Amino acid sequence: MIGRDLRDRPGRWGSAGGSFPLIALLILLALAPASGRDEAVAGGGSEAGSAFGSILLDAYIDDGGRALIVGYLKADSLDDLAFLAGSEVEYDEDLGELYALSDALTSIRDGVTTLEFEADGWWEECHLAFYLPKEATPSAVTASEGLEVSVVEEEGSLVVEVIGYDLDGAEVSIDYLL
Amino acid sequence: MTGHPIRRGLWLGVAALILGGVIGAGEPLTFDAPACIGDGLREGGPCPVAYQIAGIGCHGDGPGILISIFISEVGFAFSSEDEALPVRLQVERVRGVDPSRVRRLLGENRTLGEIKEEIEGEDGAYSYRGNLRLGRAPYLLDRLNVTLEGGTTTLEADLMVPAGGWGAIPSPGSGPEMVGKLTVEILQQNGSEISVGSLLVFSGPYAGSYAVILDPSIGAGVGMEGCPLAGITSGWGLAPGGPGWDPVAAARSSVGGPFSHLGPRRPDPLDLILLDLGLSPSSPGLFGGPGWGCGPAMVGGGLDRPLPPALGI
Repeated sequence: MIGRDLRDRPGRWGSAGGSFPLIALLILLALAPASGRDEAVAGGGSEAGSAFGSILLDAYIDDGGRALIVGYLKADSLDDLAFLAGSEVEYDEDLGELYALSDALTSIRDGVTTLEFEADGWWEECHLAFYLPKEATPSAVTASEGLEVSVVEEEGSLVVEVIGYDLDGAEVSIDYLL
Repeated sequence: MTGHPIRRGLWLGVAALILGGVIGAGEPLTFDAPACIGDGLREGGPCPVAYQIAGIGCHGDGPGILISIFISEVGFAFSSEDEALPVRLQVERVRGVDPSRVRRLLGENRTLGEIKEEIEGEDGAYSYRGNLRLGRAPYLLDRLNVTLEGGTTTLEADLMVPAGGWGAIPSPGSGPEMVGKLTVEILQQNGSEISVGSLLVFSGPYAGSYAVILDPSIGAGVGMEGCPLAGITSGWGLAPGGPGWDPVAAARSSVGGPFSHLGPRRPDPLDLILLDLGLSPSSPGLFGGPGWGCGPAMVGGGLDRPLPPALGI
């Protein structure tokens, strides 16, 4: 059961009291023009597709900072994906399967290894998992707006997991010591 | 918990109007997708969206794909106090890769082709992983179990949050904390699909129990071309808060996807209006979930069952 003290939580709606009839009206108004829009989208297809992408990747990093990036990627173009710069890439456009081998994902300065991942574009779904060496000790993990970061130890790795939806770009930076 | 009669009546009225709109706008959706029995999870039913995206079962069985989208759905969680929260569920099907083996291959300076060949040659078992967002709170899914029985796929998972919270660097030895349970059934009937379930959150800002209704959130972004299943059914059957109201039963008795005929993501003017009303809809908002629909096929609404008596229409 949900106590009344929780009613003001962000993102909750439905307890609008007197505003409800107005909301209902707005809902119906929002529904009304939908059919016409659907037809337009269906006719072209690209109108809807050009803005969307999904990025579900695992990145395995070795002690030297070399990375294997694998997973599912749907994007209009790989050209804008900074994390692939300088990488050897195999990409199956039909399946959306990506394999990339990168020496440029990490850099080392003053003994601190920094992993920087940057992917411009609109991402409908984003799930990234960075498998760092088990000995890695993270000192800072930052991510762009809308991304949530989890750091866990798993067997043989330190895993930095990042999730987010409906993102205008995805950037992750991890500083760690080995 | 009992809701105010007027409010309850308004809910019913809105549901009826929405369903009426769907009836008026939609055409019954026909569906000829092949049965999908690739990995034994689904039998006898239409090929679910996730399988088509992933190329599992229905689209040949080539080298195992490492990561694919199994479920990507958006919907609502209804509390017993007639409150609705946006929900988003994503489950990935993942082929097991041993990180230490990958690091060994990296250390041997293998080429990408060689590494790929090694990984594809592995007999890695598949598993599921995922996450859920309730309102604005994200959760990781753990101990995720997917089963099939009688054409119904059941997904069960624990809701987890990182030790110390999102973004925190955990102290050594600390692990994620379990904060809830999720159960979702993906039901198929007459070529339609709807996901209903329950969500229990033990702690945190959204603590409580919820009935959950989900609809496949399919868009171009997840590689769908024809969108044969999306938005077919995701009704409400709302009678929240009343005496004896069972949110799960209400969810299951629902028909017709009130939002399923909405097109792909668009700017969400409704969110702005709701913000003006001080209601703070959470992103992506009521209708803002990307991937809702993909064309006229989405208009179907799946009205192949009688309207629930609770709607009174």
